[in-house]
Amino acid sequence: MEENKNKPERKNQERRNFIKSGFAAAGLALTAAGLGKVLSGKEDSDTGEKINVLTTDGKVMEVDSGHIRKSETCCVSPSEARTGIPGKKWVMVIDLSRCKHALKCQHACQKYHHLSGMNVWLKVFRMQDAENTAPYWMPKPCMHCDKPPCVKVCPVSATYKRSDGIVLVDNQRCIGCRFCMAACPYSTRSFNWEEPQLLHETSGATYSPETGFPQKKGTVEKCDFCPDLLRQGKLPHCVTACPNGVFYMGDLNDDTVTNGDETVRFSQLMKDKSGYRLNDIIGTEPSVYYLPPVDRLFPFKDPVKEANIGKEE
Amino acid sequence: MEEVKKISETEAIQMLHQYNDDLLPKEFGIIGKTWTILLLIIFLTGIYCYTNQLREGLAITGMRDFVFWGIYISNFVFFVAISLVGSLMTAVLYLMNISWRAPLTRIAEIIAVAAIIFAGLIIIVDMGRPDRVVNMFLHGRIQSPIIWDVMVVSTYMTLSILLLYFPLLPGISFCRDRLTDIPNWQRRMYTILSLGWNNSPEQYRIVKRAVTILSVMIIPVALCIHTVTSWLFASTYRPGWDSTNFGAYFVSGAFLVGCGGVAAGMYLLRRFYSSYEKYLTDDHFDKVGKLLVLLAVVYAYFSINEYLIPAYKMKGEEGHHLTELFTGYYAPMFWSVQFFGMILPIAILLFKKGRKPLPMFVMAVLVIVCAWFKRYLIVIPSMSFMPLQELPEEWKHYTPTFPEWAITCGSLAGALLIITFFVRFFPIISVWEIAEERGIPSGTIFKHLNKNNEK
Amino acid sequence: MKNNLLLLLWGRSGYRIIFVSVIIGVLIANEREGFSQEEKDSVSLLPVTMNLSYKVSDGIRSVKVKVTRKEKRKTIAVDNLKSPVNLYLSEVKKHDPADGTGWIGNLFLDEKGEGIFELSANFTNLISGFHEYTFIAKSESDPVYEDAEESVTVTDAKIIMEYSGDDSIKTATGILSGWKDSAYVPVPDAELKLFIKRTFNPLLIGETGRVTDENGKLSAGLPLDIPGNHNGTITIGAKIDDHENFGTVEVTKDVPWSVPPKESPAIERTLWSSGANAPLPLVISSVVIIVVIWGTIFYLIFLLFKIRRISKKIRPGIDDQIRNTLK
Repeated sequence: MEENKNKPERKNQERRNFIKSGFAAAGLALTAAGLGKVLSGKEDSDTGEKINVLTTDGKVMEVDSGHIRKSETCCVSPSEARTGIPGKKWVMVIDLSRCKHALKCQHACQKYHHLSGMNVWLKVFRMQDAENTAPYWMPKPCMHCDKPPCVKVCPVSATYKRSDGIVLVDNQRCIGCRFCMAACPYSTRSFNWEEPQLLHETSGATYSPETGFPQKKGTVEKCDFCPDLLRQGKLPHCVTACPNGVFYMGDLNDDTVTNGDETVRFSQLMKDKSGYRLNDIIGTEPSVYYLPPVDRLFPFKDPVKEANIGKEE
Repeated sequence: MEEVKKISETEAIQMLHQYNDDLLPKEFGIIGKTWTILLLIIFLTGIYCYTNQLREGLAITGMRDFVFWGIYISNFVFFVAISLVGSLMTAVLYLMNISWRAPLTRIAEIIAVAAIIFAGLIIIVDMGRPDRVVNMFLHGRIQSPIIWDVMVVSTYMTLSILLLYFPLLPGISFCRDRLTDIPNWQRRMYTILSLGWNNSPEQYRIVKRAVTILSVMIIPVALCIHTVTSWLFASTYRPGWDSTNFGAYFVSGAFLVGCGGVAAGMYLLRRFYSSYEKYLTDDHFDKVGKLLVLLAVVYAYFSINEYLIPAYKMKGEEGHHLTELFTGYYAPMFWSVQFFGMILPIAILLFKKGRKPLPMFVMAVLVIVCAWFKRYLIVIPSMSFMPLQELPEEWKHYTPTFPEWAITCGSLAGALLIITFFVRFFPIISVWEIAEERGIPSGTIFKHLNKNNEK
Repeated sequence: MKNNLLLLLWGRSGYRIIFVSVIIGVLIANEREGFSQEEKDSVSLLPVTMNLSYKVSDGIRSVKVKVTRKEKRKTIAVDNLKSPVNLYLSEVKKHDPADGTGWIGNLFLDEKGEGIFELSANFTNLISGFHEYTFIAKSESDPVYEDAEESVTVTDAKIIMEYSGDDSIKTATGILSGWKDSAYVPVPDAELKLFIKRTFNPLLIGETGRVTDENGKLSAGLPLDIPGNHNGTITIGAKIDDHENFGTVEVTKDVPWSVPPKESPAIERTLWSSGANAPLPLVISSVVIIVVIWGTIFYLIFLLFKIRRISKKIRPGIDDQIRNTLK
């Protein structure tokens, strides 16, 4: 999965073209590739049980049943997903003083949302506000604004604001105009420019806007606050994956947020650590709050050679 | 109106005969045929590339998450802009009772119709899911500027077609009655489209009333169509788009390119139909040239508002954006379009010699080409400054791919094809309006025309 | 390489293709066999660590199993055991691994390598006579992982929640007692945590690190302004985590509370609402504009029909007189 993600898109394309070039060859190539993966048993182990699954190319491929991860799709239909979880108002707090660019949040997010290709929902930016100020890392999910500019402009209500504060995308309704991408001042949205490389375990899953997969060509997607988990009373993947407790999640209505280890009152946390919201001046009222990068736990180390200085103010 | 000469009836009938013979659609010569075939090839290439795009998705374009709107959108803005000319030439000049407009109205109207049809089509081409276009009607949100745009584009398209069609009715009936050596389908087309027109004064009166209503109505709708298109950009927070000046800026630019379109069309018609020279005179070019200067000056005024005042402040992202335009990556294109699309035409057309047909044509073509690239500069650079990281470096600079160019050129060729076919099958200059302009009493016109009918 | 070979041969001769396909098929089959043999013989099974913990929450008992393994000093969750982990309770019947007596159930592990087995009311009845239990978890004969077994022995404990509240001070008190010999006795010096139940993890109240007194008691003040539940109560609780004798014990209690939770705003007519909830001025003005413009357009289309009707009525040639009068 990991390898697949890092592979440049071009290669996948080439591979696909190659497969298309010969019918019989394609069948064999796939089987051989499948076997190779099964036999190497790198990440997942083998159960010895073989199952036939349909690949995206429409070919039957034999894989080990151990590779089929039972995806816990919660079965909220697209229309049910339009009303929020009753009585809740989700809020996230991101403590910048604790982030050291471990990217565990991002990896968990990619893995559990079955994201492939270049669509990254949770990005971690290298920020530097001015030349003489210190750089820091800033994880940036969707802000789930209370006055969302993206929802304003959507012509078909494919992206919508729910009563619990979450902004979701229904990729069965999206017409792919990308106006929401233009309207989003935080640039959190990404577009499926080509047929998404569905990992086979998701290709058969029932779609729900709360899980966001299977992804569809020609539609927009973005961070969704993992409403399927919230519905089960679980914390989003990024929150649980972070080794440093950067992400806090909670219900604003009961004034409490937790990062898994610590549970604190939201209002107290904001007061004690001078919480703020990103670009609040434009009046979008995000549901994501930041704690400033003061008294940092980790020294800033930049693995990115070419310094892309964040131009955001 | 210039001084109306008293014209005797026999004289008038003679003139009308002449007009009819001059202005009836003619079969294309070798140049016309080559031109049509060329356009067809470009158009079909575009169609072919679009079927590829339907299959592969928008991945075949150069657009990515950085620059997610490309030349499809800038081309859409261009089409919308040039279509505005229909309202300018027909409605504004009509209501202002400007006499020299008569031979130009139909040229302007057909440009408007062709452009607005392809504006509607190219926006569907840009959609990631064209199969779901019906969602706009099933789940439309009145809060979205896209829905406003859908409404005004469809309204303007309807109005433009009506404004083209009403004054065309006598012309169609001419063709029905006078063109003898034509295939059956063509005759049937004329018969159906002419609505059995028989030149009764009452019918003329209805047409005149309809044209007046349409002329009044099309002006606000035309302003809306381009203003709403500008709002697609101005309703966002992006640098370069986040501007309150955008509506006026777009409208003024649209008038300029539309007027350029008419000037170019006039020249080409005159060049390939020698009999048109009497109707599209040097005087017309002179007048249109002056109009072009006026519109270019107005556009320059709004451009200054749009660029120089933000440049005075150089605020954050807006500053980066303007720096890229003025001295950065986009500078060569930016200054070229400012110079060739605005400053040079003003300078040339200020002189009487500059307003002769050929220099006018060159200037008009410059205006049109620069206008296309101007839209490119309005749409694309604003997205290069998105606060995005972790995406491939090459995504930051947008280069349209071959299929993208092919589809865009296909749409331009398609619009030209509509105009070409129109010129081939319908009188591009309105006989009765010319006759009226030249002071022939309407009674004579009716009489004369009915004589033809009786034949 | 093989596939390229096949591509080259494709189209030359059908027989040849069939022949090559058969060969390739045989090769793959052999390869597969070879690999799995190798795996059996030379690749040793991976060692795993099993953790077992016991929890009683408001009287509901559960056992949690977590299986991990080490790889390059990193702990990795084991989420792909071929068969479920078996659970035994030795008190029900002396556990005998040979015939599997004492088996109470099995559980599958999730992607975090964890599984929770909740003891149903039946079991609670069954073990009501006991106050000490030993749970055993076993994972056996997995093709990849070594067998693992872990057991945990716990004693019953209970917490009594008390609440006293007036306007200025509201106090929650937990009293912990554990089974010893034949009765529940207070447990002193235990790290009892008092909390308020929240959406996710409980919000702890009082200072951290405090322990119960000689009566097994611990108190803490509740924050007066914290929002409660929707029904005018607040859920307070007390728990001990992973106690060496008792495992995890947790009780909660709903007490009256005057601060209601914040309400999510009602659906309003805004620019970011659904199409059905668009702001009224926007809806009204656009409807008016559409009706006016399209009304006129339909009138114009009607005029076209009128032109058509006229042309049928007045035939050319006959109506010169009418025309002359109109002039």
